[in-house]
Amino acid sequence: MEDHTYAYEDSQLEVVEVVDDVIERIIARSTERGLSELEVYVVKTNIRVFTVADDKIIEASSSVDHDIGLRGSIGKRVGAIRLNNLPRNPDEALDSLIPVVKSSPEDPYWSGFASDAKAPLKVEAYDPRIGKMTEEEYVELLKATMERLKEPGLRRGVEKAFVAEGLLMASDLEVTISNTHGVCRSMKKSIVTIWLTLNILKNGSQSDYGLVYNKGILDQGELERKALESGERALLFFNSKPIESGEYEVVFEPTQTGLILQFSLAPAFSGLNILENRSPLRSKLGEVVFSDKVSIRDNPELRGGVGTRGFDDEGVATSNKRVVDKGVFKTILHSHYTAKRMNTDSTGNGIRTHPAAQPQPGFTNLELEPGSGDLEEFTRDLKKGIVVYDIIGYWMSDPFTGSVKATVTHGLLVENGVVVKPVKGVVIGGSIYDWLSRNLVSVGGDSVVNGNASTPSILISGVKVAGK
Amino acid sequence: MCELPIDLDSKINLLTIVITNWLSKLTHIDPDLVLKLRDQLGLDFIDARIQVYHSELVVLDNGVVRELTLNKHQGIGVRVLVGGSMGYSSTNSFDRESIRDAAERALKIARAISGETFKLALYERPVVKSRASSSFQVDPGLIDISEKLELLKTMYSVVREVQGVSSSTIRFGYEDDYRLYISSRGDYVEVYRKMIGAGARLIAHVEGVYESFGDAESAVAGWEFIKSINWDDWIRDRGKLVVETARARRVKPGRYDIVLDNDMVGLMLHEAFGHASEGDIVLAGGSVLGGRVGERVASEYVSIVDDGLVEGGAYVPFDDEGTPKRKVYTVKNGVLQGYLHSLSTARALGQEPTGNARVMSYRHPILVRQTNTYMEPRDWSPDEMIRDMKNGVYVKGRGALGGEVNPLTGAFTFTSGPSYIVENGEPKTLVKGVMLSGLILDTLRNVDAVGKDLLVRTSVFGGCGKSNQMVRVGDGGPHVRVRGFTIGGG
Repeated sequence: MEDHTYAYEDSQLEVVEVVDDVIERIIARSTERGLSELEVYVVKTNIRVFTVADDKIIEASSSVDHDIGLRGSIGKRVGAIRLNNLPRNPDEALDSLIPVVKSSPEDPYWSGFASDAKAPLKVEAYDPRIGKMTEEEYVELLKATMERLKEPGLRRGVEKAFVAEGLLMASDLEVTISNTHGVCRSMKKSIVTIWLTLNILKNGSQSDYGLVYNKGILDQGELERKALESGERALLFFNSKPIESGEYEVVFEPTQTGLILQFSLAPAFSGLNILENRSPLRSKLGEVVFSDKVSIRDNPELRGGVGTRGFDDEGVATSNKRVVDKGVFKTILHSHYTAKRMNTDSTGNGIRTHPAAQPQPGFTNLELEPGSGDLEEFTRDLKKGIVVYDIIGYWMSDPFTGSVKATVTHGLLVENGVVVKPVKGVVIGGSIYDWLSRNLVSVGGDSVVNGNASTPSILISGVKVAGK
Repeated sequence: MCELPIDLDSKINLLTIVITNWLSKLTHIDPDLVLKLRDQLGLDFIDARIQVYHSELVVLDNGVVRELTLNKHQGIGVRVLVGGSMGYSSTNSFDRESIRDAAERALKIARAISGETFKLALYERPVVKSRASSSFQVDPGLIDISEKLELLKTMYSVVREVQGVSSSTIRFGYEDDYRLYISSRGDYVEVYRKMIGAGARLIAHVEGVYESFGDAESAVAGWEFIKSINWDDWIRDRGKLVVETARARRVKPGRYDIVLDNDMVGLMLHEAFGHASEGDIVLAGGSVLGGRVGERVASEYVSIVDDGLVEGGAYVPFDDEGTPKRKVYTVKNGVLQGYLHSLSTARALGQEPTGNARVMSYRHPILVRQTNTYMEPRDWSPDEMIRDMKNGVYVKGRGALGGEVNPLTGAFTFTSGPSYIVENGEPKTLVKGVMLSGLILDTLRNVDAVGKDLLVRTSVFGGCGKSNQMVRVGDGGPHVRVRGFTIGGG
């Protein structure tokens, strides 16, 4: 497989054809209809999906979707509608929106939609190949990746290696944000997600491991390396079982570090959660909250990050900044709304869960800045510990308390730097605030980008493990 | 399998009138369209899923409206089968040209994978022409938004008086989901479902410790469901519980005998067994239950059912391939009976379709999904079961966040709500932060008591996620006792 080089297209683009014309007319008409403000958010997605089962591509889909949010205000009353079809007649959309706005009670903190003050950050958020590749080219990419994934097992003489299930999803998106304060921004974005579960059989035993590639760009060389690495890892977990309950040192593989941080910690930096008294970081700005080995960035420029973007979901310019600087809580993440409530400026972190939702503060890309060492080195350093390669249930961790919970599906028990046996079905738990301060032993330098996180391996002591 | 005659000449039918007038666009869809496309494009088979979806979400965040959103989505998804290759596409326009474009895109992508796929085929069941609607008394769409807001504001005013509650996010939601399935085989199946619910996430901040707790009540019903609950008491009780939980200790990690309440049993079955019984996972070689039909996979007390019409559950009279949803035993008296199927997995595995082919929306491809998963009741009373256990944990589902499984390794996990340590047969001490974990082929063998108190629930705020698709499901069962369960958590 070749590693193609390609030029990035500028992610800011000229406003797009028909949709823009309709947006302009709705915005123009909104004031005549009595709205104080209007905001239109449109996402157009061209998506191809290829589904894999039992080593074959069993089906595929190709669609173009629109998802549209209209939010309006009358004084301090705010309401929204979400559609997948923008009517050409602006009154048709406004007829649906205005009753919603009128029936909403006043938000005493409402300070209006964002205005267009600062130029967006110049970022590489778009890989044009993802939208341009033909279906046949994706089929070839998927086949080649599956072959790479199986290669290490077949080389080592397993009886059978096959991709049990998975998919490749390629999305090419155009996002447009406009409002009555003059915000008019558009960007192109691309996302490619490949998830393939390799199943291997040897001497009547079974093992497996999943390849996960979730990025804003398609780097075929990196994909090939990850496929080979995942194929190697699948060989590690034959006959895995739960181990004795107790306290262990735990090494998290880089991607697992990202999952833990995103679900147990990231929401605590939100200005809204701080304002509404549901963040353990409330009243901690400027204080030491973690070990000095911990520096966390909100990095909208991250190469390959799914959250890489020049402006946020309100059209406000993003910025690359430390939120934790050597253990000190430095920056609260703000949307326009939370910034105004705290008499400050938006940090460009207004993120929506859907086009009609009120943007809430969140990371563009969360980056745990790398230290030194890597997964192998940390494994060698373990006296008695578990190296965690894959987890489930991590999303049930609680960011409002900092409580971490996850079940290990793929782990290795290591004693004195030597792998003793593979582990599955044990629950790990603790407090993320303890893990990143008194329990933190090392932060690695082997960062990996997955989704909207860039994180290295970490080594934590005193992790509670529930097993046999 | 059924074949129910309906009058297709009545293009405007009862169901479409019931919803709203923006549904009227649907009346332009010609049921013969798929037949014409099959012939024009040279397809072996084509079907279409037409959906008109309307939902309403109101969120009150510490007394301030954080979200007041109406959601209106509609579209048509087509699937084509040509030479054994399957392709999908969709459009949100109902005009003939857009639908034809979508069919052509589906055909193009089906051809692109034709050299790399199995030769897929669908189970040949009798043609189905039918329609079904969930029942309700008062359409929530006709209730003014001010009344819904008043409900949430009153709940807020009650919970803010509970000392220790530092934050509350209270929500109301309802949805209308109309689906029409047509196929070149001649199927024409309409399903209309209305769901409604309200709930809250509460945060307590007590003596420097934060604790959170989320809960909701939902039903396949209309506004009358909201009126049937005393929401003041409901939220006050949950406010007191989250404050009490903040003061509770964490469970010591280890292995325990446990009694699961009705909510937890459903969650465990859904994760520990349900996913591994889905035919597409079995067919892919991705399930530990593959090739085990007829084997004992659970204790003799365990019978597991998937039923689209059980009281309290999600409403699934037909699946998204128009197949009637049968009540299916996947396990009877501990023995694996079979798997859940779509038309393609039934054909491939030589079994009958079960009505479990489902999609999140018209945009999505068919997956095999559970509907309502529950364990059949037996004869223990919950109190008797706990007394007889003597020591262990009484695991409660209220406040649980959900679960997840890796069906290939068989490892599954789920969280519970605030639960109780049982000492000398009595639930004594409240504990928090509980996460449970097990292995599919071990856990259900360790069930040694099944209660008589069947309860199934569903939710309008969530569901089950698989391959980026979320569908409404229900689950439940009676109280159940399991010996030796791994419990941990932070």
